[in-house]
Amino acid sequence: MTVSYKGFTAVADVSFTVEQGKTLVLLGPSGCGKSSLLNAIAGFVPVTSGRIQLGGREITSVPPQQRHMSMVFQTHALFPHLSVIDNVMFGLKVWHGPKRSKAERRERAMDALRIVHLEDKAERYPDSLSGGERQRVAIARALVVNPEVLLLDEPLSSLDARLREELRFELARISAEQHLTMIYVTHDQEEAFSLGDEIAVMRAGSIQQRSSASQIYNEPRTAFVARFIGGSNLLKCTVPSARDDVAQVSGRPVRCRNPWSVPQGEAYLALRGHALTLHAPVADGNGLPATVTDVRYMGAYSAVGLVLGDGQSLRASVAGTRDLPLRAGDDVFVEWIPEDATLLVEERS
Amino acid sequence: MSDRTGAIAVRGMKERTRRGASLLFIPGILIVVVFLLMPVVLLILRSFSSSPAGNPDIFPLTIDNYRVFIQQFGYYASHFGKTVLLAALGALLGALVAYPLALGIVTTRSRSLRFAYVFFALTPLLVSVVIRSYGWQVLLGPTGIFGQFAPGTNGFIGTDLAVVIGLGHLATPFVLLSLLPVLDNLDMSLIRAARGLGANAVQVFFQVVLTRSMPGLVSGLVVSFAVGATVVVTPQLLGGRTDRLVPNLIFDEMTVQFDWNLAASLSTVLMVVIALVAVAVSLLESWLSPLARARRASLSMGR
Repeated sequence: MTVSYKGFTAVADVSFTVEQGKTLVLLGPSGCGKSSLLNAIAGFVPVTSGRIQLGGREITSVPPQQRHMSMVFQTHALFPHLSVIDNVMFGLKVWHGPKRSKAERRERAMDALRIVHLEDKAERYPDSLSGGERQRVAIARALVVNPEVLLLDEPLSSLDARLREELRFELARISAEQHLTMIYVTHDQEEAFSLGDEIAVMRAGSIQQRSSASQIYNEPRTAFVARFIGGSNLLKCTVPSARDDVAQVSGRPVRCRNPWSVPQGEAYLALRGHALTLHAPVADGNGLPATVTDVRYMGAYSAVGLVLGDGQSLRASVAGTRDLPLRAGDDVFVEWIPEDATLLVEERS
Repeated sequence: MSDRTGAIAVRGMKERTRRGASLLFIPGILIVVVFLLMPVVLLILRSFSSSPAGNPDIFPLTIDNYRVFIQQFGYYASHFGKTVLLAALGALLGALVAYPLALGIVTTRSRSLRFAYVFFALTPLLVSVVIRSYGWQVLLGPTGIFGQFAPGTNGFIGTDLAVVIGLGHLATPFVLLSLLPVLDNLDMSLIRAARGLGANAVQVFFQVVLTRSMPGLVSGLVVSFAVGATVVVTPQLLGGRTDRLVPNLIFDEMTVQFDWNLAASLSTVLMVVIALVAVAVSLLESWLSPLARARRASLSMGR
């Protein structure tokens, strides 16, 4: 589908499928079109071209209230004039499903509140709840109508770090228990990795890469993905031959992987900072000689800034809680195993 | 030791500046007293006066000006009742017109279009009430586009309906002005959440938009009611010769009967009636509105 507003294309010809019971995470920086995509799926934003199907049913032009999806918003969007239980029951009252008695609706709403462990706050009003509790009520309210797809638009972004982590585990538990199909929008890599069966990294309205978390991490498809996920080093290199899995960096041949069949010529080499090991200068091994520019102790690891002979810089994360016996100006040899280095072409746009 | 004297010196300075700052209130207080409070006090004093019209002296005081309300209770009760009723209906009519206008304005994406809408919706405020009432006299008169369908020979002129329409026109910009900020602050994700949960447009309107905008709607209604219950020209030009509204009675006492004292007591009673209605409506709103109830419940539970 494509979504444009007044000449600005927010979502550019994106296409994907989510399997029932699975979670797809749309991950990307702000303004990459992930929220527009989610709102188009929900029916709040019209689709400029393309189609949306739900279980084989065409829903592209179905109004949002008939799509059988519900959404959890970043701002929780609870109705302030209704108590917690009335908020949760709202969907049951207006849902175009089987008619239920008030007692039955209440019972189902209480079940939903039990799922998020808030059954004892049923009579409270949203204003008297904490941020985390409000978002849990919003989740219960979205769950109670048994949506075919649960849409979540940065549901944890407005919470503090500790609550975010707590609710992340809670969401993973609920999604597994209820066999939910979810589309989850976030800019947070940890959230994406812990919740997504599949992750789609978005940039400027298009999906750069869609695959499992480990593939995205280990085999970034584009330079953007490599940099956005975990902050890879990207080194300019030349590929002498497409078949040999060798790249020429700073005038030296190094071994690497070439999963995307980068052709002969100019390319980038993506290297994770913590895949690098530092040794005393040696002549052999799979790596490059470099000079230390700065060393920063970070607790579980040390961040080491390095510069290569041709002036390119990179950062290494050296695991260990002890101070490193290194200082700026030291000459070292940066080494890695070939599986940890991936060849990429220049960014696709 | 030096520390303590320092602290005292600082405190002394603070007190002096604070006293100086409070002097800044004086111009504001003067304006309120001279332009708002004094006329009301003079009006109330006049309503207890027995001196003839035109005489600035108000003594000797009497309660005769209020005794007439008891002596002719039925007469005044029916006039006050009708004034309250027509002003209320006018305010409601204004709200019925203003609400869709306000919804249209807040959902307009383009800034320049929005400005144009607000400007045109508020133009009635730029035109004198007299002109607007004459306008309605033409429209509702025997040859006007609405008046020609009236059963009598006088169009709709002289009917309560004409007065309500005129008052509704007065009320519209006031209701609109108090609705716009409330609707602008309405969280769009509330509407999306309700839609996503299966609510159709009508359910969204009554269960989310209307409830959330109730405070603005009620304050707009109260202001419009106060304007409608005090305007002279509109009922004079559009209403009937019999069964006239209180502002017209006051106008007559001032200019025809030349009894300023009775005009003052009528005005005072009208002021009290309007204040009572405004307080009653506000109390009712805070008892009945679900939003206010939720706020009270949250407060009593504490955070």
